[in-house]
Amino acid sequence: MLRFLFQPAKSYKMLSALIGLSALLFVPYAGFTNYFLRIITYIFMYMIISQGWNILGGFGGYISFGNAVFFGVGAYGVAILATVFHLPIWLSLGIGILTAVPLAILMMPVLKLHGHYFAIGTWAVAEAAKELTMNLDISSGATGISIPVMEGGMEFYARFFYFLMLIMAIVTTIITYYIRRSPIGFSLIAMKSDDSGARAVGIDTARLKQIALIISALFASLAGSVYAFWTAIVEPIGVFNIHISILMVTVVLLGGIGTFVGPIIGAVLFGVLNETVLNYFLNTHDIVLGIILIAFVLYVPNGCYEIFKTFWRKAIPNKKREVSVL
Amino acid sequence: MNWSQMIINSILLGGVYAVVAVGFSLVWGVMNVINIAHGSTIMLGAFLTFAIYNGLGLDPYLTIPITMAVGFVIFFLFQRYLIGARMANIPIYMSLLIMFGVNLIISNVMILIWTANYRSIQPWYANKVLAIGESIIPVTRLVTFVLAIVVCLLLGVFMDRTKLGHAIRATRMDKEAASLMGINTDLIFSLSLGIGGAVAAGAGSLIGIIYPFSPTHGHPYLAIAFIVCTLGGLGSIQGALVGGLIFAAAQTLAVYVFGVTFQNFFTFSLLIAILLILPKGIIGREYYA
Repeated sequence: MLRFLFQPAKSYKMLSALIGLSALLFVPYAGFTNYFLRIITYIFMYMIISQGWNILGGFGGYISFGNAVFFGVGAYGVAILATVFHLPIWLSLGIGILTAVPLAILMMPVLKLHGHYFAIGTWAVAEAAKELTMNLDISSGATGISIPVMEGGMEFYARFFYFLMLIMAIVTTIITYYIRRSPIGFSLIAMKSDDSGARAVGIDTARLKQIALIISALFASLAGSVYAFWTAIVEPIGVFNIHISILMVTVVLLGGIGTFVGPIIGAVLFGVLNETVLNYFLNTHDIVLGIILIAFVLYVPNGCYEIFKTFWRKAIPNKKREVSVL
Repeated sequence: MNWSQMIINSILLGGVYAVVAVGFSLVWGVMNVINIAHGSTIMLGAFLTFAIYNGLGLDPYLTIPITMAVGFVIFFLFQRYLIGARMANIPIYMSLLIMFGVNLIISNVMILIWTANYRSIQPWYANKVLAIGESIIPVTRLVTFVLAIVVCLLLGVFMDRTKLGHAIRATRMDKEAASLMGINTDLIFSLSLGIGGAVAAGAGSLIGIIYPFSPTHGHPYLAIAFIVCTLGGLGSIQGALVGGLIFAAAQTLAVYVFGVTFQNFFTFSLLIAILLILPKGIIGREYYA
């Protein structure tokens, strides 16, 4: 368990991660405004959903444009459990997160598609889900569902969801870290570079894609269900929006696609960027984001992780550096 | 419900769907790029017609050349001077993201200028109808249908009979070989995206006269373009017409059976079903990707 302490290269990384984490634990008590906490909570949410997207899209190369469907199903799952069945928050969170699994299983035929067809297929699933929730009675149509706001005042409210998202973000990051280094991660990368080659060496790519889809779905519904309690209102246009699906792609692209740290860097960058743009260009928000998106695709296609890595290599030359799989 | 009315409605709708799809199909076939901004370009065409009709009082149908020119210029300049040769070599998710960025910009500009409200265009003949037996045909729908078919056929003639059309088709078949024959494939890419934008904007003008529209209402039209392309095969005008008619018939029937609230749900479900069951469409062309 404590093996990392005796491995210099690893312990250095672990130590910095631990210091960073303990700093995050004290942020809510450092006298920042609730608005600031809210932005950081959003950044954690971006981390969770983009890590999920990155497992199927970044490692596996299956670019989904409809992961918002899992986000929305998680949100609607807990909203219905909390308001219709009056379950307590923890129980509805626990069950609500799992609603994504049956949906992912239903979506498995879509995995047969490739490239553009997969992207459009997943987008169509999200749009169909949006149309369905807008017209069904159990989801209260286009008005959405209001969840009672938690007792305890604004301070408690902001801190509670800060810590909830933080825990979820840590858990998903650790899971992704191990997935990346497990046979699943390596198989996904093999499948991305050559599908038939991966099958030739004995990887069951069909099963692999299904596993990746389920993990991806779980992460998104995790974020979605916490988000539902946090914002206390769930509406079809808000949670099934293509903008949430694209947000995941954008975050991963900003950080670096197919890397473990990419979504983390990307989430921080996107959170800050999005908030700045909203502050200064409220009406032209989408225009500025669109321009940033196009500029990033054209000029920094490998994301910021690539830039950091080059700087890092130049700053600290190390001959004995282990082969990095991050 | 009388059946002749349903058949007339679905044929009239099919022409509109065909013109929605042809530009999208051209861009996809030639460049292997999914133009996500297609839906908002259609809405842009509708809003331009709305603005010209309300501002200058020009007949909505006469604005079509203007909106087509605007659509052409936007997409041609974008591809020619901003993206350039990169579009051919980047991975598909990146081209999707670029077009999504364009989509964001176009719809935000429309919201800034015309607000997010639903609008409609009401020329003086908006309520005129022709009666044939028990069925009625609104004049605007008939004219829109005819013009939609004319736009499709003109595009077909352009692709089949002109030198430029032949160059576009050659680029679609084999980019390297086309450039060896002295075709400037970068220019052909820009022209294809420009023509795609022009046809989309023209389709928008036609649609704006018969349906209400808003800056964010482009997504269903994107889905329709995708369905019709998949059904009819990529890059063929006849395919778009056949696909449009079939899809319009299916949709009319579905609305009759399930009611109008589930119309868009049906559209998207049908899209998924077609992708899974008939990925090569009815005509059976090979597809990209």
